[in-house]
Amino acid sequence: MNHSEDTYKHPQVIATGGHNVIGGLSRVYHCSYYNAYLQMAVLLTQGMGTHQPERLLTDSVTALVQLLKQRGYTKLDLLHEFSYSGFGFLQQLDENTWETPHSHYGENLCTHGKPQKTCYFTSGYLQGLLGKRVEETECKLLGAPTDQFAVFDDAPNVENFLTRQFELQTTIPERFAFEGCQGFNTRVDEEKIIANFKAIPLYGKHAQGETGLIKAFGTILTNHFIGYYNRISYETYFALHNAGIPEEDSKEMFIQAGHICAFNTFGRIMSSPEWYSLVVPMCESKDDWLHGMIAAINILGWGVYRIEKIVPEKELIMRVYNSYEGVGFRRIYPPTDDKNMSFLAMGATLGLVHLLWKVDIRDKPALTEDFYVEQFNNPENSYTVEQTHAIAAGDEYDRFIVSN
Amino acid sequence: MKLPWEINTMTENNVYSISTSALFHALNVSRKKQDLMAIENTLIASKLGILFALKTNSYVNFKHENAELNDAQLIALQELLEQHFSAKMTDELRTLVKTREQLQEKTDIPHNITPSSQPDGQGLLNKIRGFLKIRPQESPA
Repeated sequence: MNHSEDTYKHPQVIATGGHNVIGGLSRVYHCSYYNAYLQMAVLLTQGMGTHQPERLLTDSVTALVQLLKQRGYTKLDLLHEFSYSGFGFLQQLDENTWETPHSHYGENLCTHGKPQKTCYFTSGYLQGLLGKRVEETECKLLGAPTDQFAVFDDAPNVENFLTRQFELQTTIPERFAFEGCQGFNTRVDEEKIIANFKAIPLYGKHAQGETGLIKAFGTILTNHFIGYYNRISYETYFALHNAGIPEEDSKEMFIQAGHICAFNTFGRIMSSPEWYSLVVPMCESKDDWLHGMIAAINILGWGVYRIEKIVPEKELIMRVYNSYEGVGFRRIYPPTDDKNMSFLAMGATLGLVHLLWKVDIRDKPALTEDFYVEQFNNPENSYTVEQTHAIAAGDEYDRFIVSN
Repeated sequence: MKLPWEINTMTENNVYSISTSALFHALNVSRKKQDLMAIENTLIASKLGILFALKTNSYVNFKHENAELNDAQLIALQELLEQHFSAKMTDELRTLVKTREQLQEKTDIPHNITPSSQPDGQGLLNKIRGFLKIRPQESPA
């Protein structure tokens, strides 16, 4: 267990169709804001009959780790990849006890409710790694020095949920080169931005003295499983739907998670020294900032974002090819009639618009929690989003309209 | 006025009205006193609507300017605010809720916290809209 980081190779990342595939599973970068809010949204269903959100948050990753093992991953591979992906540093204390001195989920509190154990993901990852049931016994959020996990003799009862074949689209149009696309005139060089941002080391290290966290742009990132996000989001959404919760409220919770993610993480990227040295010199207008941020988004594994139309301060239309939510939905569920299903992309696109047309991130405001609340309790100059096309509903791409 | 958790035998037919803008403002005041982050109104309204429906099997739209609650629902609201928003608001609720009789008799008495007293000068919840654009349902052909 004591291999040093520099003697261990990083996993092979295959970048294809806007996805970053590791071990046959698509991964996406997401921030602690998104992970905390998404987990909070899932846990709203605590105590709701047989739904059991805690099991959902735990077992969903177990199934994915089991798939990695079927594809040849060793225990050491999984330990390294846990850190590489920014989930923290996992180590065994004794036969039945593991701990994470540092972990993404154990250190990022979603402060709305009373603090509770939050490392469902880590428990589920260990379940897959060990083939045994695992429960968190101590959590840093509750004041413990480390997160600790007890291993039980019984095996977890978990089934693979990625049961449907759905291939990534391979013929994705170039930027600005598709029917219906507005003629844009910009100096923003997407290829250059992608090449430069890809060179930033966005991974954690599995070694003594390292945290196994990814700290970048003033936030903490994970390189997460799309299967995990889609499974926990859609199972929760369907549970809320079946309980009679109005669509507007339940979708709003997930869109909010994407919006908070975009507002904080895109906002920090667009305030970073890297952004100012590379992207800002290419920009003359807010439209250029939009083009620049879309280029940065296109390294995250979220699919391929293409701007279709901009009417400054009024309307943004965005397409997403191979959106990870659309693709992920089709790998778990049959097609749906509902077009408004890519919650993260809706919130993210809206958040990006708000950063430029409501707030003007170019003024470098301090992106504090109070600032966020102040902005979004003020209805002036706020926008809404709708999804008109959805891969989940059988369309070629996701398409979003943000308007005021 | 005694609220339902302050009396031994629950009266079943009371209906209370509460200004959601005043409620959310008081909620954030309570959170800020504990050094917890404030939460924007849209998120409070959506989250509270979901939690309330799951707890009580009845839906209340907290995006409207006022919410009407019966005794059991008022108790549920108090519990949800404490459990899911870390805000113990017994005293605040006492000042915020109005019975129908009070509303009818004294319509000119302002709430302790009125929308216009909020720091940003905003606050009428009928101005709140969510992020998702909901189009009216088309009637079947």
